[in-house]
Amino acid sequence: MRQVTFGGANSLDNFIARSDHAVDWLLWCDEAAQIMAEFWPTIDTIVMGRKTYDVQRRMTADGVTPEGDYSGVKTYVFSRTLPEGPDGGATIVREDAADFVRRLKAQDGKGICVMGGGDLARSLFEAGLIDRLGLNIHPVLLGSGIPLFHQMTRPIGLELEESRPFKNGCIYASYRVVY
Amino acid sequence: MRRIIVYIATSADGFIARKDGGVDWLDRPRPKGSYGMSEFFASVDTILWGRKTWDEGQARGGGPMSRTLKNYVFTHHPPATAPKGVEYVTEPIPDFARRLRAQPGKDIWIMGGGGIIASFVDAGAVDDFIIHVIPTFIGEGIPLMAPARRTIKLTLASSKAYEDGVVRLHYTPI
Repeated sequence: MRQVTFGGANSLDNFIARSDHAVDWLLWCDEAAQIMAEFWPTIDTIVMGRKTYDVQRRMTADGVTPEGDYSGVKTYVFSRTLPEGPDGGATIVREDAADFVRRLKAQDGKGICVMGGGDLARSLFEAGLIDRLGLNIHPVLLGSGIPLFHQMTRPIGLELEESRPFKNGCIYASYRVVY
Repeated sequence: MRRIIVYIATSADGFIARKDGGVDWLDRPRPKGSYGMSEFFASVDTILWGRKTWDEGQARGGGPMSRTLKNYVFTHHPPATAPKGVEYVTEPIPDFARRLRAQPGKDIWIMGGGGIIASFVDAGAVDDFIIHVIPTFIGEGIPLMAPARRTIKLTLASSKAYEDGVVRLHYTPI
């Protein structure tokens, strides 16, 4: 079965962005880049929500190249408003995200990466579909903002795979999800 | 100088308690050495509590720490009499913190909840954050700090992973 991974950079108090979406507090480091460079070849599919897709399109329009090598990676975007089908390099999906990802997992292929904010991740966690979690916990408290983990209706257990401090004070923590 | 320390456990999704204050998810088998808790307990002689956290703790039996150490309970509506070892505080937190630090003694433990942690953080009165990240999502609950827009930059002083998956993170504010 293909592995589904969710993760990202968060503040110590679990925010991925300020309320106005600002990520001025993000720290760059070679060690995190190295982990991502090792991660990209293990996946061939990215799934994201429409809001994350919008952010990525804005960044691309602004001339910011997304991190990582996307060649050969299939991208699916879940949206109830965009027309279904190909859209640039991505494919818009209107089907229920959990049903769709459950089917993807049953197909042959490499890993699947859940990208972006927590709305999609919440549906997939609640459906028991996310297998691994990777956090880059930043040494900052933001007090408010957009959470990485949205409120969920079920408790979920984790098994720590690894925790590693970076030179810049971030902590990389990876977990296996236990349902 | 005595240090004022936020020493607490959070779920991996960032909560210090369930919405009703419940911390049943902290009842787990502990590895040998209990994350260095006894060393920490020996280094403090004072506990700071928000009123709700205090009342909930007392309703659960209080625990030995609250009986042997000096307890300050922050409240806008102090009861007329305080139990032995307890003092109710209505003083503004920056003044209180300054006064307490100037007194001789061991370190000071902020127990929580999120309200007094936020007030002490915003008063610049926290010297250390020692956060134990428990490998579980509780789904919803009370966040580490009462919400507000802020930017508290921290230095990671140390991190340690325990065999049961708990990660202990020690930060000092910059």
